[in-house]
Amino acid sequence: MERQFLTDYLHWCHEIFRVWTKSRPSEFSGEKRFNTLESNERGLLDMSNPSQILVGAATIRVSNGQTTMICPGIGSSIGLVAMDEVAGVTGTVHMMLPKVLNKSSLDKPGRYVSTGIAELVRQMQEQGALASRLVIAYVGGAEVFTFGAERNQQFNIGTRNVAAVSDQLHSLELRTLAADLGGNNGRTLIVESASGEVRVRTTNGGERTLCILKRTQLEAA
Amino acid sequence: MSHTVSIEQIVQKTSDLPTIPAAAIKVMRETQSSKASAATVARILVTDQALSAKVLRLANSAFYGLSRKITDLGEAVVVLGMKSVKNLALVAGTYPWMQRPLTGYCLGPEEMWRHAFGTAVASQLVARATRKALEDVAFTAGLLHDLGKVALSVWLENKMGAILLYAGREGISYDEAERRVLGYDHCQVGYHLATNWNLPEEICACNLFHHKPSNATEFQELVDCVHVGDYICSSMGYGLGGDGLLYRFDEESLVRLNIKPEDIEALTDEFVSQYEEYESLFKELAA
Repeated sequence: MERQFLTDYLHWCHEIFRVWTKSRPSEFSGEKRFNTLESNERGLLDMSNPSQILVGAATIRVSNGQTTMICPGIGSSIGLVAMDEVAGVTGTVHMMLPKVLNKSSLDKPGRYVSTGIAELVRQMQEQGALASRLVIAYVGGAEVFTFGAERNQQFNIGTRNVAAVSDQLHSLELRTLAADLGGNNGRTLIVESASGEVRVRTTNGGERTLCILKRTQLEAA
Repeated sequence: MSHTVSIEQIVQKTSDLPTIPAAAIKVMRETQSSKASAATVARILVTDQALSAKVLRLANSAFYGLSRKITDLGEAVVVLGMKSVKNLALVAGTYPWMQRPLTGYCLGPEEMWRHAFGTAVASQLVARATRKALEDVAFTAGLLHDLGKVALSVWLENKMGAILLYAGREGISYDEAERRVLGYDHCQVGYHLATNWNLPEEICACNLFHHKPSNATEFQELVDCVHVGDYICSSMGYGLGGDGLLYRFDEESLVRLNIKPEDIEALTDEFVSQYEEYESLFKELAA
C-alpha cells in the first residue's frame, strides 16, 4: 500500500519534473543533464580547443586572453575566480583544504585556501592586474548530512573551507560579487573571460549564471 | 517506477553486468590466505595473459625504478609484493567497466572509476593511519564498495531527477530515498552482486554497510575505514554523481576508529597527494 503510494508519488514528481524541465530547456533537465555530463568530458572540456582552460584540482590558472575556464569536480573544495576588467586578466583557483598542514606541501599553494588566493592574486598581478580592481566569485563548500555521537562539525571540510575563504578575502581586502556555497551537490565553475559571465553547474544537472564579473557587460545588459 | 523489479532480478537480468576476471579473484583469495606465496600467485597470474603483462609492466615501470628488466612473473610478484599485485589485478580487472559512464547516477566517463579508485586509496590511508584494518583489504573494499551503482544504473536512467526531488522534499539521504522508492538501495544491490560473484565476506559487508557502518555486525572497523574513505574521496569531488554528498556521515565511525574530527583534514591532505601520485600510474597500467 505504502509502496504503491510512493510509486504514484514518484510518477507524479517525475511528470512535474519533465514538464518543468521542458519549459526550461537550458536549466534543470534530466535529458539535458546526461547530455551535459557527456559534454563535460567530450564537448565542454574540449582540450583541443585552445581557448578552453581546464582548472584541475589544486591548480591555479591565469590568462589575459579570451578564454573559457572550466573548473570541474568541486565538492567540499572551492572554485574561485578573480577578474580585473581593465587589465583584461582572469584567474581561477581550485582549492581543496583550508590551510597548509604539512611543510612538504608548501610547493602546492593552489591546494589550500590559506595560500591559494594570495598566489592567484600574485600571478594575476604579474600579468598587469591590480588587487584593488579585482572582482571575485566563488563556489563550493558542499557538505554531507551528519549524525552520530558528537555531532561535531569540525570534520566538515566544506564548512571549514567556506570560513577560510571568507577570512582570506577579508584580510586581502578583495571584493566579492557572488558566491554559491554549501548544499550537498558537486559543482562545476565555468568562466567566460570575454563577457565576464560566471556559470555554475551542479552534478544533479542544473546550470545557471551566477554573476557577470565585468561591469561594462553588466551595464550593457 | 521499477520497484516491482527485485534485487535478484536486477542481478540476474541485467545482461551487460560486469565481471571481475577469474584470475583477479583467485589472486585476491590467495593473497588473503595464510599459505600464500609469490610462486602460487605467479601460477594464478600465468593463466591470464593480459594480467600477467600488466604486472610485468608495473614491475618495470619508472615508479619502482629498478636497474634491471624483470621478465619472470614470480620475480615480479616478489619485487612488487603480493598485496600490490592483488591491488593491480583488481584495478586492471575492474577498470574496463568502471570507466564507462553511469547515466543512472549522472556519472560521466571515468567518473565511477575515479570515485572507486579514490575511495580505495582513501580507505587504505585510513586503515594505515588507524591500524584498525589491513591496508590492502581496505583498498580492495574501497575499490568495490559501489558495485550496486553499476548494476542499478541501467534501471535508473532518466529517473534520478525524480528520486532527488523526493529526497529533497523529504529531507532524507539519497540511499534512504532509494530504499523508499525502489524498495532497496545501491548498497543492498551491491551486496547481492558481490555475493553472487562469491567475493570475500568482508567485501560483501562493505557493499552493504558503507553508508550505515554502525549497522555492521561483522568487519565493522573495515566498514568504518571505507565509510570514512568514501567521505574523504567524495568531499574532494572525485567522481561525484548526481547524488553528490547527499549521504549521512556517521561520526560513530570516527569514534570507533579513534580519529579526532580535526584529523580528517590531515588525512584528506595526504589523500590528495597520494591520489595524484597513483592515479595516472594505475590508470595507464589498467587501460
